[in-house]
Amino acid sequence: MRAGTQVLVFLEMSLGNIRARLSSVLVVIVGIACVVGVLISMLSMGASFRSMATRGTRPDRLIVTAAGDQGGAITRDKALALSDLQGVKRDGDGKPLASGVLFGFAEGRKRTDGVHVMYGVRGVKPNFFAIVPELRLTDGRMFQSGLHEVIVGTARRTATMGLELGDRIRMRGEDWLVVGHYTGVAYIDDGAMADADTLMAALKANTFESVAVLLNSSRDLEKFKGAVKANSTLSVNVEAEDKFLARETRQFTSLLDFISYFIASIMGIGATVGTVNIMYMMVDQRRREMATLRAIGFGPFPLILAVLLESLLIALPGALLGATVAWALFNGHHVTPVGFTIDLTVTAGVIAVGVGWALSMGLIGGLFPALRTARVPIAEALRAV
Amino acid sequence: MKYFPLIWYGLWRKRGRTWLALIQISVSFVLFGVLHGFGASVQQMIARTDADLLMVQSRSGNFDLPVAYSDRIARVEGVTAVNHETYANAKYQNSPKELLVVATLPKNWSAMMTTGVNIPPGAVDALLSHRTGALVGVTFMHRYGWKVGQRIHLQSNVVGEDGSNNWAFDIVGVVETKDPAIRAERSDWMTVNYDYFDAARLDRKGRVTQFFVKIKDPKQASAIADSIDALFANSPDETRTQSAREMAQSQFQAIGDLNFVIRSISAAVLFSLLFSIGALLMQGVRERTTELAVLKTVGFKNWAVVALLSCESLMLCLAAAAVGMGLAEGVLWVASGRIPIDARLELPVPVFLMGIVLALILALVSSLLPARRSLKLEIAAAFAGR
Repeated sequence: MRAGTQVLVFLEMSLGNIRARLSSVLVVIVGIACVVGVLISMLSMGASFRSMATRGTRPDRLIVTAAGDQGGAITRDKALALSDLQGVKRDGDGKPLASGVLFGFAEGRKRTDGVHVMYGVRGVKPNFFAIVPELRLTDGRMFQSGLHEVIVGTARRTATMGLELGDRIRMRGEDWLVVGHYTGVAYIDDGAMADADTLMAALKANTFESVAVLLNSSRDLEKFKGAVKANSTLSVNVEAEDKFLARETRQFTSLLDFISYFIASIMGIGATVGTVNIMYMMVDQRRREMATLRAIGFGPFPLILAVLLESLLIALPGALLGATVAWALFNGHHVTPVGFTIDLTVTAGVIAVGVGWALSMGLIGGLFPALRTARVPIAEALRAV
Repeated sequence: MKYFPLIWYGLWRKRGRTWLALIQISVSFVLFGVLHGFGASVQQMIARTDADLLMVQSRSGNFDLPVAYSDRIARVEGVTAVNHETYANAKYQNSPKELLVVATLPKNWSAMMTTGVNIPPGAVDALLSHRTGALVGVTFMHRYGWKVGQRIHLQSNVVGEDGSNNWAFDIVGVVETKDPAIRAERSDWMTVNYDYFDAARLDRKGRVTQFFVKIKDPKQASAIADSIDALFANSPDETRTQSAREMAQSQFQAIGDLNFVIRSISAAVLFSLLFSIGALLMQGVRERTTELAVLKTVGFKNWAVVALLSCESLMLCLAAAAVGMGLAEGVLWVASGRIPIDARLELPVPVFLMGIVLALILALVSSLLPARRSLKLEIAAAFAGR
């Protein structure tokens, strides 16, 4: 008999009488399912946050911030100088598509539990929708310059009470009327928007926190950066919008990922050790069977391979069970850890990582027990019959 | 006690299997200990924060408040002291790490910080007499190799009167966080004169980030907070006053529902552990059918056999749980100060006891099925190998 056939025959025997060892198999499945379930749930949080944060961003839109990372100030002059630089796209009237952005903060209550949350209100130029063409109004109308009017992102409206058309929000002791809702770019959807000059006057501020710039194409980024460098009065950082947001969120997501893998590793070690133990037991129970097979001409290598395969085959349903439970519990749920609403999505990529972990646990867990099969002393094992 | 050798023998009947089980259980309890120790440490930190300290911030968010509020807050009944702080971020030379600059009133600051910060004698006077002076946390002194008396040049996000981002301070003293366990990592700020800072900046003059208010009676905290907020209601700078403890609580909530995550993970771990240990014990009983039959033959009562089996699993679980939580304490000790949380991490006694109780439950529940099997054991049938 060829080695491949031997593996298959043995595997068929193993799976055929799996019913007799059902409890042991279940133990391995449950152990692996727990690890995979926890890993997938936690990784999903990081992955969802990452994809949420960068949804709708593009490489040919720039975010220009003051030198120094914590959102320092950009004066009006600087903002104007920036919008006249090379590479900046212009609209039909020849006006540059760039807008200074400043932030006000309003307080709201979460819809889910009534807890206070703060959210940002962007002060932007009226042509902001031309700079971010992904944005569109879902209802109501645009805010008017000079009036205390805001439009609210749909994500913010879903998460927070009292942001319907005609509602008023309070900033700095003054009421602002909600006149519209918009959607399109995730990180902007999570807040509200008002006219920059009006907001500046209300906040008694005279600087911007950043400048949003749309380029002719992403190839103009270097040209724009060069122009910024050439002007020594502009000490600013220039970054493409997608990279900027990825970087902003990286600190949070890398911490989350680290915690996820740390916990999953410890759990994984426990479950793997458990798998080793159970597989040893299963191999021990079948000493006679294996000795018999060896006696009638099965090689040691096919047996090793078959035990490994069996261990993998047991790990697989564990992984699927864990993934299913994680998916059923968390997919489509909203969590709001830092005032930022995350739609949890359990993606195929994260599930693949979970399945990969399960298979490696199965492989490592089956390795030593599999090697033991090769060392079964045939005569002695048979004598025990 | 005379049955101890019997239990011991049963436990080590399959050496490799027992070791693996010990490792598995210990590892699970490491995770249990680390997670719950972390959660409990955060709770303890919240409980330790001063209940007699209120913080007054702008209700309109990350913005600031007029410094003139100080006097009006001080006149509120029950208030014993008021201080304010204003923050700026800065960088030193080309170091990518940011420094936190705290602009405050040195006298009031030193009076309020007595619990948390070691301020050497004379440091406050030195700062007061030196307009551009700075008291620097030990973390920065070590990181940048600064010396007292040195003039340091920083790049800040705050624009100065001359329109540049350059700031210079003279180091007049060194300060550090009191708790030695987190001192090295947590003494990362520098204190400067608010009067100088405010005069030298271009924008937002006469405004402060937040006020700190000491009150006489912590029980009055929420009433005093309300009367402070009422003072400034319907003004352009409405305030929100919270006790430091409330703040810590809401910050902690911002991390997410930590306790829920911790409990879910522990439950998943213990659940799978239950199955594993149960399976191992079951296999042990199966393999020892003959031995158990011998015990029964020589007069062991059913309950005695069950007790023997339970003791085995008890010893296994308790020993492994103790080892695991010991390791967890080590992990927490190493992690203290290396994470961005102002707490010393440790495994409090209640968590340890909870772990032991869980180990007990684990041991007893997992030995239920094996015990049942040993009860049903018929001596004659067992000897016959049926």
